Amino acid sequence: MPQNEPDGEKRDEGLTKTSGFARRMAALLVGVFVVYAGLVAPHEGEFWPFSIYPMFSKAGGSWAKVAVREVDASSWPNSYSSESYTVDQLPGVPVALAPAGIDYNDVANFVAKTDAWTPERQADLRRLLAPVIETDRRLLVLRVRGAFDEDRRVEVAAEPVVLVTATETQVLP
Amino acid sequence: MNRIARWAAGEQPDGARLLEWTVVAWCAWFAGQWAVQIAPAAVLTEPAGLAQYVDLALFTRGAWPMLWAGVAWAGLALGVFRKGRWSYAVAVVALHVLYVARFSFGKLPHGSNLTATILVGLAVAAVAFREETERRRFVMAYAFVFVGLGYGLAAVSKLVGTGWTWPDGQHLWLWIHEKGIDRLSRDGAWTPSLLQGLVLDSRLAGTLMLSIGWLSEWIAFLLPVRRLRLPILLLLAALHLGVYPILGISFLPNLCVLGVLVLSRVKWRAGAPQKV
Repeated sequence: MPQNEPDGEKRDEGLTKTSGFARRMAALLVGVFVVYAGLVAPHEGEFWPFSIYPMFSKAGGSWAKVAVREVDASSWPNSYSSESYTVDQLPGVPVALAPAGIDYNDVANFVAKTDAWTPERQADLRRLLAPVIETDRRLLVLRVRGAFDEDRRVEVAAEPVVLVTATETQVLP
Repeated sequence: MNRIARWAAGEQPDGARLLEWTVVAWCAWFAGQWAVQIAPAAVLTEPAGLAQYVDLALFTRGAWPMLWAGVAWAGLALGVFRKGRWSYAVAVVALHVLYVARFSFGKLPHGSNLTATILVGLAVAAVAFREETERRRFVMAYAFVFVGLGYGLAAVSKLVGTGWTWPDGQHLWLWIHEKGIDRLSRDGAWTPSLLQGLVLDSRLAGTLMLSIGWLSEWIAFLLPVRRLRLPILLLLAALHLGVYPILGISFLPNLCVLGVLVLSRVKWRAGAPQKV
């Protein structure tokens, strides 16, 4: 059956090619996996786009967010300086950040990461909030913390951090 | 390695081109979105990725973000039309620069990771394989491995970060309030939805939801097993669809990728869908 020989050869060639392709494919998959592990391991699990996806991994831990309120001119600044508020009793009226094109997560993360309000940090905060800073507007930035209390109930408390006006930034004690 | 090769040899190219277009479209969207957002938010306080080694502050100013977006768009366009083997690789680098310049506040969002991980696969395929069928077969094998790995790692992170008590419904109460404060900041107001109210009233309901979600992530490690792919993909899609009404996180790019992978497991013949 000489006419079958080319077919057989072609089939063998095809098999060899497929197996060569498969080996190469396997090597590349393993290679990318090694690079993935090699990049995320020394970078706390994050080297975009590779990630160990740690979001929501620490359940039950406290969190810190931010709320921005427009406060009354007559009571500024002292009455807001040292109190802690519940979410239902926040002073002033809410300032929605999204309609002004501000990513609320940026502000929340920035405030959460700021321990010392240096002039540079204050300037950065003003830059983040620029779209909502207006003449005669007083913006109170509150750090909102959530955690379980002793009875495992959710306790949310907001503490005033910074007061921002069109002309100055006041760090609250 | 031989076992992996034998497994890889059985991969089919179905759906690869649709997956590629989906990934390219999302990555183009990310590039534009980040470039626009960099300027007002450019405060490199917690550098991530390459920004830990190279000062990228310059790239956050002036026209630089849009230039990087342009490079990413060009790379994506050339890659999808098969012009230049390194086009996708260039797009990956440009997107990385945009991402680390955009997100440097210490908290990194994960909405783009899965999609862009597949873009890395497209870049590897473009460099390593010349034949279109080989490229597509590789991309599909890669997608199932790394999508499964991504969700599986999320499950492992929860185990490492919290332990086996992670699915306790009380934990969900804390997250619902956290997302409520996000909503308060974003829109100026927040009241719990009906479903959120149900979870806040019932620890058991929350525990059940978290348990099912976590189990879905663990099972995702098995995504490379071909006969299990369809149920696992549907389970992961259901996970995202369940998370949205509770925590308001949509992960739309992931849903699109999962949807395309579901379609790749179904062949349409004479109008009737059949499982592959």
